[in-house]
Amino acid sequence: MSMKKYFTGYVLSIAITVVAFGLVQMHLSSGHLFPAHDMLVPFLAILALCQLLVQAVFFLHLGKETSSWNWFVLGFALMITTFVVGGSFWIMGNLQHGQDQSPFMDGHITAQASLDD
Amino acid sequence: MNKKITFGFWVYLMSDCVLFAGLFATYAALHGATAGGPGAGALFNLSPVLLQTLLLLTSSFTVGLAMLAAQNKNRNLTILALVATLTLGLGFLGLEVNEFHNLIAAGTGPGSSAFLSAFFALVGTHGLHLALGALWMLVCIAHIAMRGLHDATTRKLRLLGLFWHFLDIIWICIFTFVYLFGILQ
Repeated sequence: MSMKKYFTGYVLSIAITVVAFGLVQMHLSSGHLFPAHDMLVPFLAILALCQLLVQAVFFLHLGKETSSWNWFVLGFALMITTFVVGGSFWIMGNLQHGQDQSPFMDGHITAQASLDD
Repeated sequence: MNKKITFGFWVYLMSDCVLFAGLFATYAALHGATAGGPGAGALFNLSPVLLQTLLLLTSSFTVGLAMLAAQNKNRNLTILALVATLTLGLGFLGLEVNEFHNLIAAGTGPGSSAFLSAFFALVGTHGLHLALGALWMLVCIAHIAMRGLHDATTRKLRLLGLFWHFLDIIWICIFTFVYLFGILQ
């Protein structure tokens, strides 16, 4: 722990926040033209990831001195987080897809049609 | 002994992380379910949210200063940094209560759509953590003011600092994935 480390972390985290906010404002004030939506969203996600890393290194002091059990618990929590959040997106995506394609409805109609014959 | 206590607290923080993962996943799944009402883009106001973020980031810095001052056995500076952190934290909570109040007064409370239920649950849970953290900080300040800086008070302060940094990290995710992404919809 040192003053310099905290100060660096603080400046970096403020800078990342201001850049992210500025880009969104620019996007809104340019009538959703610049930066383009498709570019802005992944860029904001990358900025958030950088912010998380800055916080972890400069404030939580994750590094060489962190014990392996702490890493283990962190890794486990991140794994569960990935399963829960990623799995939700996966399932919601499939449901969306299912609604568009209606496989059950098709199956139902086919069965119905074969009964009529 | 110290190491074991810090590790136990770390395990708690990581299980809290899993709790927030559930709330984030719920929000992600339901953010489009507005029940015909206004969505995130129409409801969110980014300026107070930016101010909230800056307040919380600054408070994370000042709680770090408090831990450094405690390490250097500087009691007055520790208390000063903790009072600054507490003030910034309360400012954050004030803005959040104001936002919730405005939303509910406009008829868009947690009961009006699945999207708003998920939003209030996620952001409210974070706010509740922060309110409890502020209470803990008050107790910590009183402890240090009355008993001075010794091993027990310094250790408790370190755990509080970890907790505060953790809440800051959760807020960063809320700021990007709820507010910034919400306004872009």
